[in-house]
Amino acid sequence: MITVELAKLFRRPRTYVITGLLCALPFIVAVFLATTRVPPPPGQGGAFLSAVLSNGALYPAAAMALVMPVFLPVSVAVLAGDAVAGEATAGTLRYLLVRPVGRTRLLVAKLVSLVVFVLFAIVAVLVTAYVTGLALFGSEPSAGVALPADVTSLSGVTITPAGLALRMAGTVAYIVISMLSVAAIALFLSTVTDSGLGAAMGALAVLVTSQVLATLDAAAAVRPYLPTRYWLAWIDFFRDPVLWRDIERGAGIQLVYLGALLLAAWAAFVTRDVAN
Amino acid sequence: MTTKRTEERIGPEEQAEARIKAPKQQRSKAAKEQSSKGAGAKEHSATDRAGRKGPSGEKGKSEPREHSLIVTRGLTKRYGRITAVDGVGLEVREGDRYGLLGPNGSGKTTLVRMLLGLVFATRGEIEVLGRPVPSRVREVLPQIGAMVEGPGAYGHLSGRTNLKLFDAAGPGGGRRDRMRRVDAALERVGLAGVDRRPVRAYSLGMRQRLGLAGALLRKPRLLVLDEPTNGLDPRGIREVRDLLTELNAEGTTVLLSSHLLGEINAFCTRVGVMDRGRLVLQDDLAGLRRPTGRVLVSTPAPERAVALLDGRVETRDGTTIGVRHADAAALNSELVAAGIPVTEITVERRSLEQVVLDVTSTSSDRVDA
Amino acid sequence: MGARGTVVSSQARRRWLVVLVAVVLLGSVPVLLALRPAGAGTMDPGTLRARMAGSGGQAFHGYAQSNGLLPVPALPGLSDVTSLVSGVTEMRTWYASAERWRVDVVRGAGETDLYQVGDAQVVWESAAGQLTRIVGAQPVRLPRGADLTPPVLGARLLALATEEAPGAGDRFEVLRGKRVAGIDAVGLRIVPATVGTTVAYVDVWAEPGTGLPLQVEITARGGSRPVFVTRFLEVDLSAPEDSVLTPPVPGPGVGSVVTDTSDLLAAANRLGRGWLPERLGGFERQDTPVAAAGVYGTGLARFVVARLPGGAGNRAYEQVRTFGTPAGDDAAVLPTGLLTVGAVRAGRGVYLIAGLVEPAVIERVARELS
Repeated sequence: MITVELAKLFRRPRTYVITGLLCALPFIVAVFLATTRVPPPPGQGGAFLSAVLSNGALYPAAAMALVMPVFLPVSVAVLAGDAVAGEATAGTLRYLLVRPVGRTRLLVAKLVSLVVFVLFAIVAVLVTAYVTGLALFGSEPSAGVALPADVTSLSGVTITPAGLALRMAGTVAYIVISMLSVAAIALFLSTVTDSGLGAAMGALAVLVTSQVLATLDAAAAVRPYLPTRYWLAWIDFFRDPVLWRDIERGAGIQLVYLGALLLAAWAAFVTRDVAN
Repeated sequence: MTTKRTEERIGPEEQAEARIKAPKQQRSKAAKEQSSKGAGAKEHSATDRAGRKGPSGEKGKSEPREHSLIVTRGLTKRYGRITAVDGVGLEVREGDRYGLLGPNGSGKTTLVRMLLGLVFATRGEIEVLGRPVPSRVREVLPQIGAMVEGPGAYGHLSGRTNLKLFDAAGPGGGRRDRMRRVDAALERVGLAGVDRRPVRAYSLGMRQRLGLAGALLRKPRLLVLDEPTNGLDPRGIREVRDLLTELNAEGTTVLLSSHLLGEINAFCTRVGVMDRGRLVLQDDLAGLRRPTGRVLVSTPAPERAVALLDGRVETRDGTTIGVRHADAAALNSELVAAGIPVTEITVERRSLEQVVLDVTSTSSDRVDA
Repeated sequence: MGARGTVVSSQARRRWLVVLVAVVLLGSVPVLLALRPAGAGTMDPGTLRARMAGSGGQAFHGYAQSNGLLPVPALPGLSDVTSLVSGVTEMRTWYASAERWRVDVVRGAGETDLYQVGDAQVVWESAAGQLTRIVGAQPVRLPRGADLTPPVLGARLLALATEEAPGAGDRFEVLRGKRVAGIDAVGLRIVPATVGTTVAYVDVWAEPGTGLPLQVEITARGGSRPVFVTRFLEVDLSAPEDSVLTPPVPGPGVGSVVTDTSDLLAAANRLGRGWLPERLGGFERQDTPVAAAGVYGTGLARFVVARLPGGAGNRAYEQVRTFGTPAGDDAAVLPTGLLTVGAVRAGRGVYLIAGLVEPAVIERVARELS
């Protein structure tokens, strides 16, 4: 079933459209930055953006900071919201179920395909951002050979290319985990409604509420439990030494949300009437 | 091909012919069934008719017979305060061409969905291929081909890819001969020449055929088809009917639901009539269309005929008179002997339409003040 | 019932029950962890005080967070300072000895790292990509994040409270134990007796063995909840690795400057303009005379007066006047409950006054300065 879901994912034009849009955002930002050479004031604007002007090799990290807070979760919510509801609307859900495909299996396959999508999209963004970064900003030649470039961490320590690759891998893994809660929320809603749009909207409403509460001092008591609280913790991969605290907590929270919502989706879906 | 011809004999356009010929095979088959199941079946269908009083299953002598593929007892589905299916005791036997007849909204689709484990019953029992549904529906679904309420396919993919994906999604069947299975199914429904066009560019008829191909992929033992001829032209309808007849002859049991009386009449051997969620009638078609005991005689001289048959004439409609008579041949010779010309003579049978009208209430889409 | 696997509504209910139980279990884990009873460790206040005072040699590293609830507006040029008392500051700290430590103030997408290497201090500003080496003694400087880690703040407040002769009146009470960063900490409450301070009491929890302060809470007079809290969220009482304590070296992407003035105040002081009296608002001046800033008062009732140069000074004055209340023509006072800020325009400069004292004291100082 997982292979079928993956085939459906990669045969669907919208997968590439969304990925393309995700890649386009950092590209456009890069073009503006490169032509105007006006960096955001230190401490403001997206993370790493001011550092990028001097070293394009850090642009993938800046690109992550650009797509992470809004664009990526929106695409995940749209896809996950459509996952079950879309099949129900298109009438394919009942044919899958009488094939028969177990309902739990279907949910798991949907989730796996969402994870693969996030992975695919992030890697696509990273690759385009790396190429764009090097092409538009150039890289600072490290001692001797010009390539690959060395990068300075947030703590001012030089990161070796191998170290950068490792940190980037950590970032990708963390972002994939961060998207799990969005995917699980939208997937759960997708099992209780036939409207993919409604499910996506519901998931986004949860995220926006979470983002608002995260900045509200009055809501400090619930802040550690908000799904978006640790979303930007991957930046801590670029500190020296790596600050694991928020990364661990963020991953833990995401897994808890994933577990609870997946259970709820299972409970809602396994005995849900599939009828229009 | 032989089955096909047999089938043609009872097609609607051959009705007139059939009236005289009184299809031998139909009659004999029905008779065989009657004798094989004995009085029990009659009692069963009788209780179905009386289903309004209580769940028919309880009276239906519990255990399903060996050859019953689908048995439901007191099956009820409620959506909030609306009862979509109400105490239905359906029985489909192996080899049946079962027609589930009823207007839109009478609960046919909900009933079919419950049989397939898509919708969950509020009360009652379902057994399909001897297994309780939905608790063990996954054991029987591989032997069932289904098309429920219109075909469903991924619009951006070609028909062939759709079938391949659906085939790969479920258990059984190797990757190796998937291509062959898909091609065979497409061939069977008349889509062999289909190209790489995405399904969204298909006509409704093509989609319907594709849905049928999906149902046939695994050579099912039981075919459950909900309105399979929707959107097909008359030729297409005929092709589908021929295909189903062929499959039935090969041993596939077919449960077909339709709101079109003609379709059921033309294809089915057994019929269940749904009305407002209830199964108000379930019987063999042959039994339903039994002779009324009257012979219809058309003659240019009806007055003389009436005079001759004094007292035995029960109806008169222009030049056609209905005569209570056990033997059409004897009546014919009697009339001919009296010098009355006979242009047409037929054994009168109850029409399915009349039966349905008798058992159903007002039209379901009628809203009276 | 007799449905033999057809009616599944009871299964659905059971399934939701499973979900409910699982969610409750998952949700209760942090609550249970938080409610885990802390050890009832208690200690004689004198011993505890002595231990805390002697904890300066204890190596540690950890992650601390301070949270200030004081409504101080961002003062131009001083926003780094005001944000310390009016918001959350996250700090990573590594401490080997008084001459060798590092504190990173961690922000969303950047950090400011302070290294102490012998006599010199090195500041790394990630936003600017700049290394600053501060050489020479800093007689006066602005507060910074590194001053807010529990050990530093705890030791400082304790020193202030005890600098006077015992018997000056500050009271010490033992508090109930508390779990801080997984350690069963013992607590000490300092209740200042000094007149004029806004501090009701200071609570310090420390690791019982070493006396290392792990959590510090300051509660203002008239308040029931602490308005300033700093605590470790994670702490390890072992020496940090040496590599962590070594500042980065200038290189590609890392600019570098050397300075002898770390901030605005130090710069003002270096300019040497201004004059501060020996006595203000009835309090004695405490420190050795420097030109631009002076500390007055004793114990926790103390305040700082600094003379800021024209531009920055005037903007700070406008802010204080906007958010605070005017005290005369050329002065304004901004009380926040704990910290009181005042600004006085005098000549071409501006005196900025700040301290844990009552507004009346600052008003009096303002009158004397204008």
